[in-house]
Amino acid sequence: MSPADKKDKPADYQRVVLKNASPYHYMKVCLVLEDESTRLSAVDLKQFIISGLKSLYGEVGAALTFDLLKYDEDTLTAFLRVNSRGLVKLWSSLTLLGSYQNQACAFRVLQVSPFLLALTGNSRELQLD
Amino acid sequence: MSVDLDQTPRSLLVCDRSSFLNEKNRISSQVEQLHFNYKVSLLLPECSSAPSHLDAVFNSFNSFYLIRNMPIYELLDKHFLKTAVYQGSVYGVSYRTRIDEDNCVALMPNGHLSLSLDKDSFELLGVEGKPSRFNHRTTCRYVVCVDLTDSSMAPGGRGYQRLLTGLRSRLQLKTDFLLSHHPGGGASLQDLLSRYDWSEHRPDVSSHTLTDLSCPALQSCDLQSCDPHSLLEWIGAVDAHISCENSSSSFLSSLVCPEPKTTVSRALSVSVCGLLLPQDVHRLIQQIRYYLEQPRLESWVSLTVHGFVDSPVSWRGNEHGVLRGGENFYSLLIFHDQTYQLHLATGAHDTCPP
Amino acid sequence: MDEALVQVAIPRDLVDFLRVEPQTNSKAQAFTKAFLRNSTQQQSQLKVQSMLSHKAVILGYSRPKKDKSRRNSKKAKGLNARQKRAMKIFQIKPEHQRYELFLPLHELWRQYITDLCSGLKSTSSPQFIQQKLLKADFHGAIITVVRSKCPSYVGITGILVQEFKHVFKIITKEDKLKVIPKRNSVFAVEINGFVSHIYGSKFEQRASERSAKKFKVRGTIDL
Repeated sequence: MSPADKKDKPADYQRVVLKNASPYHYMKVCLVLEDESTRLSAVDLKQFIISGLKSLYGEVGAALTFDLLKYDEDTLTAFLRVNSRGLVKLWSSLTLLGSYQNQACAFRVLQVSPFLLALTGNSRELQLD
Repeated sequence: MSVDLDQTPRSLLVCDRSSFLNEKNRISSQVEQLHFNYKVSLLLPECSSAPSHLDAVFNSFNSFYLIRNMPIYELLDKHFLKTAVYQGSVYGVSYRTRIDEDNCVALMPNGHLSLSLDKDSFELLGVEGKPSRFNHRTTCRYVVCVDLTDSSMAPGGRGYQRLLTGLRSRLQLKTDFLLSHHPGGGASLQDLLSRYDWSEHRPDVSSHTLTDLSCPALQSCDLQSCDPHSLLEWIGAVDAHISCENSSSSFLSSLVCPEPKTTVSRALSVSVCGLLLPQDVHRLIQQIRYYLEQPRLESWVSLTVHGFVDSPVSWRGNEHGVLRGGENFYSLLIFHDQTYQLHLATGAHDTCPP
Repeated sequence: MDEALVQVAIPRDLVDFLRVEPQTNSKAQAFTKAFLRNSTQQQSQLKVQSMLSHKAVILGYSRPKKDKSRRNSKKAKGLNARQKRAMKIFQIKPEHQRYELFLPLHELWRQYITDLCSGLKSTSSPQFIQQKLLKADFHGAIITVVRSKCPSYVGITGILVQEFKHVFKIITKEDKLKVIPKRNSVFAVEINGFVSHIYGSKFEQRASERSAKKFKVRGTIDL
């Protein structure tokens, strides 16, 4: 967290380097369910993740705020935003979430980045042919 | 809870603010040095359809070629070196290989061939290399970088022979490969392409219009007008079609547009995907400057360029790796008075951008 | 001294020269006897007396060092390491470092391996051959470095001419003698289509000692 200023000409050229300064982290996750026909709404999904946080970290963990920025009901893919300090907690509870309504499930963490922009330009999604 | 749980891997964000008129601006070299661009996205506020000269640039992006299952030693082919590498610049990067688990290859426009190999492949290859900078405790990845334009790598030379036999008989490395050539285009690569299963691809252009978009009030004058992270977050949200119209008490999301904000009635977002050349990006920037010279309601344009996540190199040919995201991108905000704000971002496995 | 020589009469010329009176035979004999009795008996008695009265006598016996003498005799037969080094007996002279000179050795080795593996047919099981090869002698084999931590060793191939505890000395087709450490390299040996890989790090023994060594089976081996 140390912005290093290198000012050549304050009026003309300014360069600031920010290290680890990102307040949020963004995750792109996909929920894989045993029964593929199961549908979840955005609210269901958020509730489900909160229950995971609660079971792993208790009431204090469940108080961790995160945002469900975008959710696609067809692919069960969601964009999450979480405070950088809470990333590890959220990630670990996602990893340990193993069942949804008595059916086996798993969260695939597709991408994690301190920049939301990075999630929209993932070259691993490039499909040719 | 222990302190470690709060920590996240390193990330870097470089914010540059300058003007195109300032002779000290390094925008062209910064664009040039990111060799492998995957996606360019453009946000034009108060614009419903792209002006013809911008459209022309989008449609004239160089096409690129996909070769399936190409043995890497083909890059050392005498004829290929003569027609493509020594003449102009070749952009080549392995496709559908992941740098955190597979062997990755990149051929840079300056004639450097960079191989990012796992330990076993490196031991098989038998060519000098360096352990990767991002090894954790045990060395499990090596980077072999050779300059194909160097005299020792001239066809027939000792270094050349060693690398060729290494890639041909010891480590039979085969990957899908994306290739592009500047300025020769496909003609310079035809000889190599004809020997394998290949296809030509045009960069994929898609655009859509946004209406009643709330956007931060951007002024050219000072960097502090808007926090770079919230600005990038907003650009990302627009790019990912995420709504910023949330109240702070909303259950699902509390993402809001950074203050101070205004509303633009419509905006155009255009994105181009593929293996894009820095030259084309540069051309696009020139056209955007030209576009901004005309008087408009909103006097800024945002351009974002994403690098390839699995390229073994990022800026300047520095080593690149994927820890969680592998992000290497820059976002350029151009204002009508020829000033710009440039944000260069990298993840944990990267060096500081130029 | 001869008794006759003691009691001999002094020659005449010596009598003149030394100016001594030669005594008669019987007299001289008596004198000698008396002199000897005086000098010897007294001294030995004294010594035994003093030893018994003043000194502690250790009654235990020291173990005879038989093995020492045996080793000595063995050592005397050969040369020690320093002498061997000085005489360069294990070094191949530059004029003998020729690939074709070692081809007969290679042929010999092939025969040896074929005999050892009882025919070495394509039907024989690789496990059986590997068990045999583990204890075999490799002098004369054509070996190739297929993997190494040091990239410049990779790809070297030639006839193994000498094997030491930690290195292989091989001669390449270009008539170059190369010394390759066993550690951190994997070698490939090819016989009649069977390619065996030798993990050098696990092979760090002298050829003679290896035949007696028991190798452990491991799941995975890293360099």
